[in-house]
Amino acid sequence: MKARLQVTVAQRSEAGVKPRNEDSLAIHIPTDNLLESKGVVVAIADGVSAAEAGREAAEIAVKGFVSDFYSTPDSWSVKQSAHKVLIALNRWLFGRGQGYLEAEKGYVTTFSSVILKSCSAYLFHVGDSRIYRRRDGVLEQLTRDHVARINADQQYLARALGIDVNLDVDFRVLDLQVGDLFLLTTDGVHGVLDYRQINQLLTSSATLDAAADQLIASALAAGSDDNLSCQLVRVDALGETTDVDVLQSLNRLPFPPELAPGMKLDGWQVIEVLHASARSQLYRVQHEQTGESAVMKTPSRNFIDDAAYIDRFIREEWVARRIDSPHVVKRVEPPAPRTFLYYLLEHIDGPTLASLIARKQPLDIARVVQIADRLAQGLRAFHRRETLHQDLKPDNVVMRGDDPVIIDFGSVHVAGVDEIATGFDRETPLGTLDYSAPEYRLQRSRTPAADQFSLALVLYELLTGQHPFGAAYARATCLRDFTNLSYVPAYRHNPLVPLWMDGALRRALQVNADLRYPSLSEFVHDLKHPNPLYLTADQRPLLEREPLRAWQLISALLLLGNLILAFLLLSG
Amino acid sequence: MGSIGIKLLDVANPAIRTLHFAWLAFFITFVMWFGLGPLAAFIKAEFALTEPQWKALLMLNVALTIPARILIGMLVDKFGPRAIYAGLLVVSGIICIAFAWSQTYTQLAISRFLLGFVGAGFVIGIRLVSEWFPARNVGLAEGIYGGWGNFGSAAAAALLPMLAAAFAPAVGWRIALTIAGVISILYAFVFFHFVRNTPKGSTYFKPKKSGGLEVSNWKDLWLYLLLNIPLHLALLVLVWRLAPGNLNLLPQLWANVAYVAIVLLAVYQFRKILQLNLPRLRAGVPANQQYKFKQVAILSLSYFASFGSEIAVVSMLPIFFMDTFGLTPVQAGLSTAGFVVANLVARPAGGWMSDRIGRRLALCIQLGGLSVGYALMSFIDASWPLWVALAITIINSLFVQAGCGGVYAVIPLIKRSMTGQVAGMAGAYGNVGGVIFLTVLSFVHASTFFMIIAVCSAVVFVAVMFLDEPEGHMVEVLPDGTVQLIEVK
Repeated sequence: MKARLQVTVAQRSEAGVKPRNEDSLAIHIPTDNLLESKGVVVAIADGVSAAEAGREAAEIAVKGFVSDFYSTPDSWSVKQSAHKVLIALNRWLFGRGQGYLEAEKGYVTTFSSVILKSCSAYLFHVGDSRIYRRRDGVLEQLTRDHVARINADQQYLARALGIDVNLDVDFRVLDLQVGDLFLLTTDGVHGVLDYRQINQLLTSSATLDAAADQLIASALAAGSDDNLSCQLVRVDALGETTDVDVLQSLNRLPFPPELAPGMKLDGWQVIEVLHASARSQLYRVQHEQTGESAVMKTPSRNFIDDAAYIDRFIREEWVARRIDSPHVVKRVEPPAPRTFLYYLLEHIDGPTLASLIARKQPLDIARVVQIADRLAQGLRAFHRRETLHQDLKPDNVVMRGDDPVIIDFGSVHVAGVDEIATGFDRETPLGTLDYSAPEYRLQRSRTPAADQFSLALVLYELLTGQHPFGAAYARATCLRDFTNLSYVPAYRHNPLVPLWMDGALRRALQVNADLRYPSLSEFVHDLKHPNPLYLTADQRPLLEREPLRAWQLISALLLLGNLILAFLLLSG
Repeated sequence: MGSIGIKLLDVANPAIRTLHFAWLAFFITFVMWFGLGPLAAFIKAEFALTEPQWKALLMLNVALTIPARILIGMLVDKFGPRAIYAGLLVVSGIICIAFAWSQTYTQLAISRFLLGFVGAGFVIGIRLVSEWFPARNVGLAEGIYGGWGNFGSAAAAALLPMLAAAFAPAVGWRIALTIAGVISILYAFVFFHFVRNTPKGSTYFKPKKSGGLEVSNWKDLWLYLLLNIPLHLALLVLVWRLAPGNLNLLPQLWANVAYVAIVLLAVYQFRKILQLNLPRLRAGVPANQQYKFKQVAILSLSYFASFGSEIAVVSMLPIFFMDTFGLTPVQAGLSTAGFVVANLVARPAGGWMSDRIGRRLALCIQLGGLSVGYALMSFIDASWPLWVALAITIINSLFVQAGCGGVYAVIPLIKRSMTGQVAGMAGAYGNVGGVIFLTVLSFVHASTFFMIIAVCSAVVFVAVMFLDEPEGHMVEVLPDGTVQLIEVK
């Protein structure tokens, strides 16, 4: 039996004299092998009172942190996982706060967390909540308050989640000893109680629960005017002394060899090779014991020492864990630790949209609208996580019955995470030439509108079997090429497509991302309901519809005018 | 590993189709490039060329290939293999026809020099094939591409003299080369029409910069710079050999222009290498990204001896056989074809050998074999029975081509992410070998020429002893199919 980390915990939170409790806290002690790979998470957040959405911000921070942290790949270190999760959360909060006029009044919260794993404690801290450690009777404050003092009475929070796009988090690693007691508090508690008082309370209380009650009661008695929260964690036994972080660092897991049907890897038997490309292989596998079916994705040997590729491969799995939608393929949790680098996805037995298109029978309009609706839901699940799919194409959508499911995370872009500096150049996926939005090749900023463009392309192809801009699209490289593209209305290929539906597609297929729909839901709405703007085919001026013809016409008229004048002049 | 081979007849599979189009393109470039040697008798007769003039043509044929590889590599990055291969076929087809209808020695020399460009076609196909095949069979696919395309030099040796002989003696060789050029131009359009850069619907990643190699420490940087010197030195030697005071085929002014251009090219290359490596080395290279540059140097030298000697020998062998044994051009062509025909199997076999008996041992055997082979060839004279001379030549060629295959089997194992650059370096050294050996030939007789190659190969043989056997994880498949990891020390 391996030694396992054991802890005793207690936590309390009260609104105190305030009407609402804007603190949020959580402790998660996994019971399965996540305890070894990820550890115990203790997190506390204090929504900033000046912020109107403080309560919500604190809750998003704590709940989001706990759930996302455990979703990070096993191969990521605690530091890497927590950092990436915090950066993504910060983006999310900051983005929501932008809805308010002043960012300071948006979704802002302090955040402090202790992660206990095997023999180490990892501290992450931003804001003015505190983490203390009591060892051998001595209480020590481990964090520094991030406040800017204006004068004796006034001080402001200098750093917090959701204040700015950039996030600066304090990070520390400490060795654990049996008997270490960690205390996390918000300013409602440590604002009125000093070291001596806190230490005395901790010493005199028989149990952690009693100590937590005592802390809250004493702070209230001392006149605290804020929400009061505290968390206590005592280490009762240490985990195995191997440094799991180091063992599981990025490049430790070896690449699996080329697999053939019949081979077994970690209990998964290969049934068939689904796909092999220069970048990766997909196998359909079945588990020997459970009989569960799954798809195994393995990295291509071509990249065996390519740090950027491995980083991206590992991130794919992380993204798969974070996205939760019935219209996005789900990741399968491996029942046993992996000995090779790969990940598992659910197996969907159905045709891809590409094979539907290849049948050369345009799909029923109602069915396309239904597919559009569901794909948009799937894409929104990505966008909610500040993630762009970037590679939506008919090959990447599989039909589960009537339900389209988005597969493949090979090209996703996660805001925040992709900007973290690394020792290598990150790979830049440009999507698939035929389906990626123009901004990829024009080196412009990528927004969810890029996924909207790809979705519209896929729908157009479902309706007509053709590409709206023809073969010239894949060859376009500069702005000039893109503006010279000519859009062929969908009803030219398939007379059953209504005018207004083509209008909606045309708008989503604008080269300039700003001219597309501001959101996917508006696009889908216009696909379902005739937009009066697009009811007639020729509402646009001639100059816009047929620029060449228009200028030819103008020139011809001018020439005619000149000829008449010349004639008059000469004859007169 | 990987039980899945390549079904060559499955032309419905776009990857297989692409492979066939690619090796055929490579094949055609080689027919044009190596069409010179087999037609030697006709051309020498028509222009009444002196021996030095003829040997200068052979040198010119391979000179431009060295810088062309760099240029073609950059163009492929920018425009993709499809357009560049088609363009190369058209341009070299035109130059080939221009060569065929040259009226003066100067025209011959200039068009041959320009045709050296066609030798860079190899690189384009390597890139194309790697886009189309997954890791499990890309090695085999590249082997087929390289081996079958190389077979073009055998086809040139066997077919061109026959074609030439079929027409009137004065214009026969011209018509033969014109046909090759026209086929190249026509094929360019076929190639452009049917071939795509990447499989349809595959995700497109911005290509990595194919500039210089990234080295791991300061010592390796010096070694890398050192290894780059011969690339330019070979060109300088060539110009010097052609300049006044020597063969006197190049006016002093042009020689000076060439010197300056080569030096500028060298400065540019060195600057790029330093720009890439200095910041990296100052920051320190992470342990997991380090590799030994020594390996690259040894492989480059091995390719110098194997492929370098091959392209030099193929150019001179027909004339050698004609002069020594009094063969007709057609017979000499067929004998030369014997030297290259083994490519079909010998090159892939060299790779296979490397997989089986270990990288270093395989290379040792291959280089040892070819140095002994060339040493024996240096003793060939008119008193030998023709069949013995032919047998020695063909057996030697097996080692030469197996050596080429052996080198390319190790290249991906040095550092996978830099396979392209390492292959480029070794490939350039193959061309340097061609230039150097042909320059040597312009000074000496064939027997001394063979002996010098033998000695060079023996030196490289010693260098190969210092090659480290690539290490790594190995996996083992148990009888029940379970894949297991075993650590190889």
